[in-house]
Amino acid sequence: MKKRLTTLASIAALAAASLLVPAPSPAQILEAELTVKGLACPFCAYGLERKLEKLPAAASVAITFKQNLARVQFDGRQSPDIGDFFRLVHDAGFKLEELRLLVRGRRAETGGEPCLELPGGTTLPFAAGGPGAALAREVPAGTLVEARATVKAAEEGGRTGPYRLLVKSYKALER
Amino acid sequence: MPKAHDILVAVLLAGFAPGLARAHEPIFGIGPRTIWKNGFGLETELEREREEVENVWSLREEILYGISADVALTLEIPYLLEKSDGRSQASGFGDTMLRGKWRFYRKEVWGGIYHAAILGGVEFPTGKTSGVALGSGSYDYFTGLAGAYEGRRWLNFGAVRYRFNTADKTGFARPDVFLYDAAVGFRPVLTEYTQPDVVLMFEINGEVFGKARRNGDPVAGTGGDRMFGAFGVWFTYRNWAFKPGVQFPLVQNMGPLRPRRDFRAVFAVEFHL
Repeated sequence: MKKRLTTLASIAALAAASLLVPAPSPAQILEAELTVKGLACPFCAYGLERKLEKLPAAASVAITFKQNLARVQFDGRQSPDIGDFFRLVHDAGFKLEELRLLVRGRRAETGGEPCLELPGGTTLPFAAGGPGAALAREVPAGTLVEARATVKAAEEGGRTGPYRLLVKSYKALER
Repeated sequence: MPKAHDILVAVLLAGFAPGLARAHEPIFGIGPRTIWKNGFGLETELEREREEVENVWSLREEILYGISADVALTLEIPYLLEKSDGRSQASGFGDTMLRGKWRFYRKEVWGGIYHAAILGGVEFPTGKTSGVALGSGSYDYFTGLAGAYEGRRWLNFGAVRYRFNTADKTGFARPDVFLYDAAVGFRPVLTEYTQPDVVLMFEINGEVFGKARRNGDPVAGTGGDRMFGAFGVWFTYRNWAFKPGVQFPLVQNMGPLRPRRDFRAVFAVEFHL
């Protein structure tokens, strides 16, 4: 009897914990690689690390001078806005030259264009070229897709964006 | 007639021109580097300066704030631990300075940056002026321009500044000063982000003094120019910087009332958060 009560208490505790801790979203940015111009000294790059740590769900930030690279790992509970990457790097005093993402999202349509839908309803249309065309053609809408892609940003009126995904590789995970 | 002591104090204080180490910059000059948006920096500098019988030990506390990635404000609070004119000595707070920097140009390249900034500041008469004066007794202003290329291996800095010194309550105005700085930095080992970093610095710092004025009239025996060389090192580890440096005279063509500087040494510790 006592053993049964203990088991029931454990199950109840687990159920309560699962309500308190939100489950990771299936659509998420898993990793970001930022190629950054202006990286010269560690003391100044500290500001970049501080800024990138502010990205929602950033779990770790690693900066490599040799490759002019900042790599951010995410814990998947939230997802940053793509514009945040450009804004935060600029606010740190550097220039984001290229943004590459390992991203999980739903294949969707926006404005009649095929896209990947990220958490929070953000949609990123595919840029021309690369396997993005095959993804758009062969993967049905609603499918969860994991893709490695470069974010292409248009410069419009002094602002960066809108953004497109130049897909480098992908795999369909589920419907 | 100007009092010789007044003039001596005035020209000595003129040596407290803005331009000591801050952020990742030359140790005795100044550069265009700002801090990131909403970033804070705290810097403590211990400085020793000797000019013949004049001897100064001072501490400076600087608080740096980044309004944006290209606009920064710095509040500088000096505390003179000991200031001696050979006959008597004093200690206490000096003149507080508030200065700003607007980096109007920045071009990031791979492993480096070209940038330039406009500088400006005001010094408040917060230091005492009686006895051995620790302050100027007047509101003083400076403006300037700084530019740099900072790369992984080499760093080059250049700056010009002009300091306007207004008259104190007695009608005495210290000489205006034109300052120019050039600095070269060399990083012998290209370390990675998480490793301690060392940069060797060599600087040339020049000062051209106008005439001191009493009630608007130039004071004889004031004015002149002088040039210094300086060696320094930046030791940095992530958000900590340690910057020792020593400055020595190369040329001193100053009026007879101005003591010749023997040396100036600085040890600065900076922390960004």
